[in-house]
Amino acid sequence: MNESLLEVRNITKRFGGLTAVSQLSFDIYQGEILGLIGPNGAGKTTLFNVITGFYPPTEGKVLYKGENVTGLKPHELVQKGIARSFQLTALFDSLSVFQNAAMSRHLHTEVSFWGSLFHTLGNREKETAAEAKTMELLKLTGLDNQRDVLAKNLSHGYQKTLNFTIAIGTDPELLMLDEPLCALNPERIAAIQDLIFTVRDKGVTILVIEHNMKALFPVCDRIMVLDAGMKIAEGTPKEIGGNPEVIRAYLGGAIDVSDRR
Amino acid sequence: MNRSNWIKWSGLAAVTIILFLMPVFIKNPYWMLVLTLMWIHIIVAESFRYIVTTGEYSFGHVPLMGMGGYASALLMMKLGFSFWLAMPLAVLATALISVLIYYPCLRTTGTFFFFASFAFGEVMRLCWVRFRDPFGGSGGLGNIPRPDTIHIPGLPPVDFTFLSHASYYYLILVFMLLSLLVMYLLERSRLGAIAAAIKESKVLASFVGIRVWRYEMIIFVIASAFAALGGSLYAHFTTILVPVEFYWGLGIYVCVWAVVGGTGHFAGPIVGTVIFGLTREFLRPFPQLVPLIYGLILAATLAFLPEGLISLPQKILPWAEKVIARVKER
Repeated sequence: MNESLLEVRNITKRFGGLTAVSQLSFDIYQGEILGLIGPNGAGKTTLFNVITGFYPPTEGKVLYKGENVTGLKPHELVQKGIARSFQLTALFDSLSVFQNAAMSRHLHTEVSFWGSLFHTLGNREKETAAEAKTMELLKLTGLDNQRDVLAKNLSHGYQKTLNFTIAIGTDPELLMLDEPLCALNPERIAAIQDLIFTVRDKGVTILVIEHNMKALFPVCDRIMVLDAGMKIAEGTPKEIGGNPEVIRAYLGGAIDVSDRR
Repeated sequence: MNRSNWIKWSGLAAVTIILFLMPVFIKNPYWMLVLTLMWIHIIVAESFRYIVTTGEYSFGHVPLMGMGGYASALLMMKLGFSFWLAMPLAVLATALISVLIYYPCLRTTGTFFFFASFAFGEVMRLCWVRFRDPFGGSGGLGNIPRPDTIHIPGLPPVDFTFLSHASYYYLILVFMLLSLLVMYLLERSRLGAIAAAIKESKVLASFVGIRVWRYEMIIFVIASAFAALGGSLYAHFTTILVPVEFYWGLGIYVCVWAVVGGTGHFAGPIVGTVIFGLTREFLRPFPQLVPLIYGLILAATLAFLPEGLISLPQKILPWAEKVIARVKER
């Protein structure tokens, strides 16, 4: 097994009397794709929000490359290499696809303030380089021919793709995807699945939350099942798909786990 | 440079020349006062819009303008500073005060930001009323000195003592044009792109690594500095400062100018300020009608042109083209 990239240790999150995540510990290993499933209210998104610094955990800690990152702000986590996408697509609605993608390069765009104020020559060069990088990113996710469309006018499937694009535009080492495959047509699902593999092959470790089991299982190296804030099973897709308790409780029948790879 | 850019810049140059020639054509000193005041209002409305580029509406903006006026006036009156020193110091002081005010306000957003900034603005204004020394209480400050005469070797001295001299008009016009230029460059720069991202989604902005809080603070402080510049020019122009001038009503007016003109476009607040300013002047014989007409313009704009008067040509053009096409068919 590879080294742990992210270690989650005894995380508990309570909202008043409600315990959303309870004493949860797990590891994400370098280079893997880990799926996170569970019924509604199992605490999946809460866990995401705790890891990405939206809420501080009530107890426990999160280690990234052995460093304690519990309670860091989102922009600090992005600097360290943790990016996320959103369940309800969050985009810069009134900006174009290109502008959305360009904004995701914020941390990697070396434009000096004075240079951008007066459009100096040196700045022009840097901007051209940044633009090329952004176009490369859009080509990777297949949005390059929609570059001037406003994000709000994209179809739902492309909005999800753009959301994904923004997350990988930050050059993360750990990419956390919140339901990237849900409510999409089969063609888009295949496209996003391919994208997940492509990004993984570039050396990015991925954590995916998903409801669409059929689409998720072929993508993952490992699956973790949450219920009522607790981990009830962890294993390869085959093991989870064959686990009678998991099937009975959440999957409502056998699953086709045929590997797409 | 392409053709549309060329038209734009030559148009701007023409407008600038006309503005500089205004005192030659307009001999009525009253209209000179109206125009001078309008240029100050444009600085304030445009800097108000600069805050709106982040998606927040601040009602601390007009009290901060007042703060600039008081600071500049008091530095001249109590410490005997020259205007040319007092004005930049007042701008700097107001920028520092704006950090103190917006620091707590920035923990809030939307409606709460609106109310928080309103409350802090009122606190500031009530301080001027409460502390007769040095702010002069509700009676305010009078006999505020005018800017000192500039002596440039080889040229006649530039004197700001008499308003009939066009010098004060030029002083304010130059500051307005410089302010607009700086704010335009800032909006076109990377800071402007970041502001647009923050306006669209603060959450997503923070997840691409933007320190939302810091950039909002930078923008608010810059906007407050321009408000203070407007306040300082206003104080030495009218030579009187009264706390009641900077009450929430003026804040609403500034907001209305910017919104009716169109906050989505740089020129929006300029258009709004000029249209409302001229409307008020033409309605001088019927002062009781002014709020009514203002209300009608506001309601009609919000209902039919939610992006402001600046979007009017865009809306009319397709319609006009259709009419022309139909006329040609016949």
